[in-house]
Amino acid sequence: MKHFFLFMVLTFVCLFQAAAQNRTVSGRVTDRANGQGLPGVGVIVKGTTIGTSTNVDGAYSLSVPASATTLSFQFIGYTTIEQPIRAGAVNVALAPDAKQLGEVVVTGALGLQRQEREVGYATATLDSKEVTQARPTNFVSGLAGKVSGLQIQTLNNGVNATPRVTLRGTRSLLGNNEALIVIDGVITTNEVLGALNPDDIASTTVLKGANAAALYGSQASNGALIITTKKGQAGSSQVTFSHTSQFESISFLPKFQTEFGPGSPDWYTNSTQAKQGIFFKPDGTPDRNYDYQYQGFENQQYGPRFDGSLQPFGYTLPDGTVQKLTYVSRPDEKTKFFNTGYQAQNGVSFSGGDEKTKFFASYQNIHNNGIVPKDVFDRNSFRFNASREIGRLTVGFNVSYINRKSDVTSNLDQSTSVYWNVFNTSVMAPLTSYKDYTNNPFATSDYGYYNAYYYNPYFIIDYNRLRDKRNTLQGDINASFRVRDWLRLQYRLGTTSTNQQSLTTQNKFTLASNSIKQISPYPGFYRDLSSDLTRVNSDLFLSADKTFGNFNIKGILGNNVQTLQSRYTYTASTALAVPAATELINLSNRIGNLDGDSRRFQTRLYAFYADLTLGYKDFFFLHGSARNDNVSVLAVGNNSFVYPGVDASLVFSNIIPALRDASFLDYGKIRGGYTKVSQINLNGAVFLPNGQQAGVTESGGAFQLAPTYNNGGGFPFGSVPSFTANGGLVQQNLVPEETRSTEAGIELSFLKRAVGLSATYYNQRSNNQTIPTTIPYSTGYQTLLLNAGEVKNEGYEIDLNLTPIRTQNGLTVSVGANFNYNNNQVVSLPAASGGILTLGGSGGTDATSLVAVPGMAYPQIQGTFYQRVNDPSSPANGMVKLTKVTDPNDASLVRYVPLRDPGLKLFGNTQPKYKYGFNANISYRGLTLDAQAELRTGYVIYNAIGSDLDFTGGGARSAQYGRADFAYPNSAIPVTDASGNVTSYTPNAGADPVYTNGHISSYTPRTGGVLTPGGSEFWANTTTWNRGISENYVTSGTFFKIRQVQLGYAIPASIASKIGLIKGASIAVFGRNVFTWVPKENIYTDPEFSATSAGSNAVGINTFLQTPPTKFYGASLNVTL
Amino acid sequence: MNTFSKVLVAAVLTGLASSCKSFLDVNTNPNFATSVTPPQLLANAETVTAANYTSYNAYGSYAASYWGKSNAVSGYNEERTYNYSSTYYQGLWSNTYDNIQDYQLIQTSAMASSYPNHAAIARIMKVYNFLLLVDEYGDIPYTNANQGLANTSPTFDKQQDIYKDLVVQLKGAVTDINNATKATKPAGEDVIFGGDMSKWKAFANSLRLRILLRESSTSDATLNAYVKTEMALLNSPDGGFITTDVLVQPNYAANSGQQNPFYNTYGFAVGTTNVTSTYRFTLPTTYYLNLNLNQQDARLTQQYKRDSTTAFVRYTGAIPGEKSSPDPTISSTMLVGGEFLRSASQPTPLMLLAEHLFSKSEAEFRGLLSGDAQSDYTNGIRASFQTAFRTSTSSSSAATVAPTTQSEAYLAANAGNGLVDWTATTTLQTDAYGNITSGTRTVSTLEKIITQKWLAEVVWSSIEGWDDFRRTRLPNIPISLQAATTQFPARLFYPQTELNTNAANVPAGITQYTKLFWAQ
Repeated sequence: MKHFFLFMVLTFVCLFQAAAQNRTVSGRVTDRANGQGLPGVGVIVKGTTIGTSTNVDGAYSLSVPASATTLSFQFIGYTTIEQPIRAGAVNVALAPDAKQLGEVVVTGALGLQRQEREVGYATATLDSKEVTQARPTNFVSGLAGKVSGLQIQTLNNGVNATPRVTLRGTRSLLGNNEALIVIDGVITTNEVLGALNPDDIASTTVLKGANAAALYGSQASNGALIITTKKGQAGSSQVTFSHTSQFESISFLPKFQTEFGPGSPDWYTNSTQAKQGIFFKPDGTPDRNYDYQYQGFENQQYGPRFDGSLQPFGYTLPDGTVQKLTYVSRPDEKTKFFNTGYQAQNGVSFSGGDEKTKFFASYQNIHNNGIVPKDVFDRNSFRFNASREIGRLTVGFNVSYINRKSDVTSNLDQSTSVYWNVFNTSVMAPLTSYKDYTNNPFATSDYGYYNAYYYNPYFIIDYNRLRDKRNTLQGDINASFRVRDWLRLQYRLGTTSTNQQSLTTQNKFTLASNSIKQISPYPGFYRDLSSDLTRVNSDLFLSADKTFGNFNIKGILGNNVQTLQSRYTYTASTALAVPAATELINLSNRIGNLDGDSRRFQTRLYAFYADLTLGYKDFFFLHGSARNDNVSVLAVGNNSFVYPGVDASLVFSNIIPALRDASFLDYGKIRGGYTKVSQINLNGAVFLPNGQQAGVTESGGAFQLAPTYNNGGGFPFGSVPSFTANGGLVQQNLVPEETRSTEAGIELSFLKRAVGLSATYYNQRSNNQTIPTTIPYSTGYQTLLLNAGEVKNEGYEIDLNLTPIRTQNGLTVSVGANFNYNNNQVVSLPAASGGILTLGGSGGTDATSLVAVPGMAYPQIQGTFYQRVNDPSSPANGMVKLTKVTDPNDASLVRYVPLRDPGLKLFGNTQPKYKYGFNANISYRGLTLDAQAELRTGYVIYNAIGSDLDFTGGGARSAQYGRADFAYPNSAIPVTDASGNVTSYTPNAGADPVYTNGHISSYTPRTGGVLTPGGSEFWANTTTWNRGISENYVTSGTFFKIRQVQLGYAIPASIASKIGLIKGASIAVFGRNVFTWVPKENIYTDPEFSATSAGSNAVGINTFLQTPPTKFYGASLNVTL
Repeated sequence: MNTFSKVLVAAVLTGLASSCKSFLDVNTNPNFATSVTPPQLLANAETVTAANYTSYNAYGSYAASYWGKSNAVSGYNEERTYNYSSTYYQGLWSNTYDNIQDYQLIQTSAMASSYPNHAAIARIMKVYNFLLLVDEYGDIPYTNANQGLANTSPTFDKQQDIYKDLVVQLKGAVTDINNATKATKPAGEDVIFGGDMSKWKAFANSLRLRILLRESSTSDATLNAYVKTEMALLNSPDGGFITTDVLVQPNYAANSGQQNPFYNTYGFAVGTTNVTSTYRFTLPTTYYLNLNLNQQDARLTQQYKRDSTTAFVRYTGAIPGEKSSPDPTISSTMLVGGEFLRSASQPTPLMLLAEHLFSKSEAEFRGLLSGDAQSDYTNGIRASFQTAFRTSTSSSSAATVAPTTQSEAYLAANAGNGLVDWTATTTLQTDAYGNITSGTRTVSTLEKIITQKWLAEVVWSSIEGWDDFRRTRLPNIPISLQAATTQFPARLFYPQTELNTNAANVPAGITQYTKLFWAQ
């Protein structure tokens, strides 16, 4: 903080100095095409070095000497215009210049800027407006679909979700694959980027692969997002206010059945009672002994078909009453349970400065009420940055403080998951009438709420809370000294520091002793986790830029130091002594010992790097870089490594002037490069003893080489301590993973920039994967961490931008598309892993897991499947084999069920092979309509929720045959010989439905057709027949989403300037995720969702812990003073 | 301001100039110990053995028909059909080898020579654990096991050879203890005997008897001669035999992770007053209940609840593999506060005195040992009553086997019943589930001993009951109604984890019906 105050003082001193100047010229620069303000336009007094650039709305203000006569307005991609200085505003409108595309500035490694034509690797630069116009609270989610090769995957919903960010597939089997995040030159985390005020971000450069990011060192193998925040502008100071209101609603829920009520009667279909038409207990009381099909207290929904009769719902209360409801479906209750979320964003920013001093300050508040009742999130973001030129020295600082607070349902497991308990609720239940579980006798947990096995979701919400507070400080101080005109020495010291306090509580609930409910009580607990993570990043480098005749040399020589410090303290109780309100639950109210844990981590790194770009004229550029990393987390001898990279760029349109002047080709460039990057993939995620992620704590890979001895389970017992050898061994001489990346690309622009095309081919091979292999337990240990295995990623990226209409009257229509094909393949795995590596699992009855298998893309879904006839000569070839079962109610009935194969099968990769992004923009004067969509395909997902829905009987899948005994589709009947052995299979000829009152009531088998039991015995309760078979719930992951649509209107500069007080104003209405299309077979949820813990690559299995997908609508207002 | 930049640059360079090597020297783990002494490993190793033994007994309780499942749960398919798989109870393998590793480290650590008593305990406990493994899996990695990085694909040793070596190790351990009288003795970290090395010698001797008796019933003449010779050495062993139940008591308490493992699984989770779901899944078998009821066995009153809806002395149990099993809310689940669920702080037995005495009685009766078979038999019954009526916190039943009212009443009430009375040779005829039919049948002395032993081993030592059944086919426990074949299983499959990682060495062609060398 000492530094902070020093710079504050410095800044104010500088502000006073700025007051003494000559006359001031101001005005606004607009885009001739649409009348919008153009930010970043250079405004220079002709013949001098005095200048400034325009602010976000195109306005500028410049102090000019009395002698000045002309201003020059320069902006890359636009024709330079000169205007005489006169009294009053000097406003200009710039027209695009088709010939200068290669001069787009790219912010590369270390925040150094390069012209696009110089770079030999793929990058993409996004203006902040493109990302934030649909007002996402998390900047990262606004990036989805905008850049080829960049994949933003929102793993879960929620008031404060952190999406996963990957570039060009995944390289490391078990290590980190997420893109490096760099904010203003300081390495930070995705989590912090998501917390920033999106309005503070000026631009984002995506460095798509290791080639571009190599200078950042070992984390760069995954590519990088280089974020530049807004800075103050020279000229008149400016204040911006913005407000956004948006609404969130569920975009889709799984398909639920609406025909059947509660009950769990295996083999009821052909029972004597069913044949007599008896489905309900005749005396109208609850059927405690499970004698009939209808049980009003059942969580499973395999009861009789709704018939409108009056039935008891739930158990009889102690006072003898029982709730009676008409036996009908109430399908809207689940949707009505969830709220319409409301979110307000309010922001203000203040910027100003002169040529030498610039500053920017902003504040934003976000208040978010989620779709789950009582979920609340608040974020306050502050930013202040300033810089000052003092002769040849420029010093500055940039600091952002973010405070986040959330209060949500804890959603830890089945008994605390809101979503599970909502979709588990019978479609008969008037769910929303059970909100008042204290006063409504039919909603209480002891006796009332109808479900004998699960809690009232409203009760769950109140009893299980997670309250989380995070404070993040992100910023840097920097100094730049111009040693010579061509030589600059820069130093930047940055930090990202987050501390988190997370309080998970559960109120105690003990079931009344005379209650006949079967729910597990809540022991209640208090879990207090405080964690922090501080990264410090120091960069000292010399950069040179000198031209000798036709040659230009740009060089960088630098030193980088990084440190990470992280820790957590966890204090918890196992059980509460007495119930208490959430706010009043504390540690003294407990039974048993305090449960606690504390860990701390530290890593350090120092590196030296050199980077050299040789340019010949304006068309050939050769670039090479090398970096030497020295890290603390590997053993001496293996902890220092060098990685080199080289690339080249040839702007062929600049070689031959004739080509350049040809009307159809504006710009053409080919490029290629090769880079090797080492990545240390020692697991950074830290978990608490209870298996949950330890807040923001990261180990950075520290302390993983030496074996450890943990406390034995339960120890110390009293005064006796004891330890046990950890089950993990580590290979001697562990080295980093190594990614060798090759890429080549072409960039073309045609027809006066009406058509822009760029394409890249890349190939990345990552070997020396760091993998904890399973070793025989008879060695006394369980895992061995070793270097082995290789992963390959190969793919194409294509970006196409068309501007078919650009008229003089200001109408511009542009459309764009981007495409990425990524083929990821596991080349080899360590022999010890048994040829397969498990990344994660569903934890369900079907043993579905995510694995890596040599020769295939990863992660692959592996799971159980049905046996099929494998005999090309048989008419039944490929059909599911059936086996005969006996209906215990009627042994004369012949019934068949599908056979589960004892083995496991691979169902496909869970990361999209093909990703398409689309955008369209129409602008006419101040009016813009912008839409953006995304299509991902070429992968599968596993919907664990499908198995759960079949278990509860709430899903449409379990009712597809009307719960009647049905003909299993594409199945084959066994043919047996005299001794009962199966000799062959014949196709099941199927059956025809019999309708009663418009419903399927039974099936009549055709000749050669057999039936499969259609009640709970099949769908829910015999796992080997249906629910335990993974293949039933694997669906295509394909989706098409309209990510955002926005209609905005900016008051033209001419009108705004007349109003006087207001410099500019704009209003917009927008929607996000407004439309999602998924294939018919996916009746479950958003295929992007996955129950993946942070940092894990086990993506592709969604569960009931993710709430349903949502869409947003809202409006925003921006005023600039 | 130029000065400022110079200071800044100078400060950075100074920082860098300080030795780069020491800058990176921050990778020492502050969170966990990276080396430990043998005493620091012992208490946990012993406690884990107790927890693992609880899991072996859970398997044994179903396999040896002590338990059946209730209707509160579906599943338990392997228990009902004997269709075992390579994942069924595979945790026994991994947990036992993991536990042996800690004993191995006590024995082989750099400081082992300073702690010869600890090393001797580790040697005995390794035998205890390897015996559990070999009795469920037959051939297992033994000589090459627990070598860590030195051997990551251990070969399998023959079960007969392992058996022989276990005896050698136990004799060696007794010698080690004799040679280490002046060395540091364990104290609180020995949560079995509190460092009383004479008790460890006795335990080693009783374990030797358990091993030798188990391999004594084969038709292999060479083996029988070997057993005879080795048994003779146990007539007056150095250190004697155990005189109380061998119990692990690390000071279990009603705290998370500190509860008695049986109580934690089958009783109550920490801080809850409602029983665990596992509690409701488990019922005694009708056969077990009837055997007790026929003998008016007071131990039963300490073990299972009476049927709450029917008259006194009505107990409802399960029949293994029955189609619709009983409802736990109205049948004989475990008695809360009784023998099995006395409290969260009850000790875990590793060897029951009753089991030892019945083993000794059998060896004496068969002429393998000299001694009074009848006296050991009767004392075995008394010891079992001591165990059943043990109060909540006492870590041993009694210093000597004192007769109690209940055991004497039991003996008196069953005078003439061949399943209890040493001198009687007949008992009432029963059906397969122990219901008295009509007439009488003869009872061999071996059946008498093994039946009483089976009764004594309920829950705490069920796996020994299962081992005795596989050796003697006694008592006549009922086979599951849903048994896939007419056979009882004979062993567990090799675990999937070992098949995945050590396939080249895992013996092929083994099924759950492949008998061990000592089995009938």
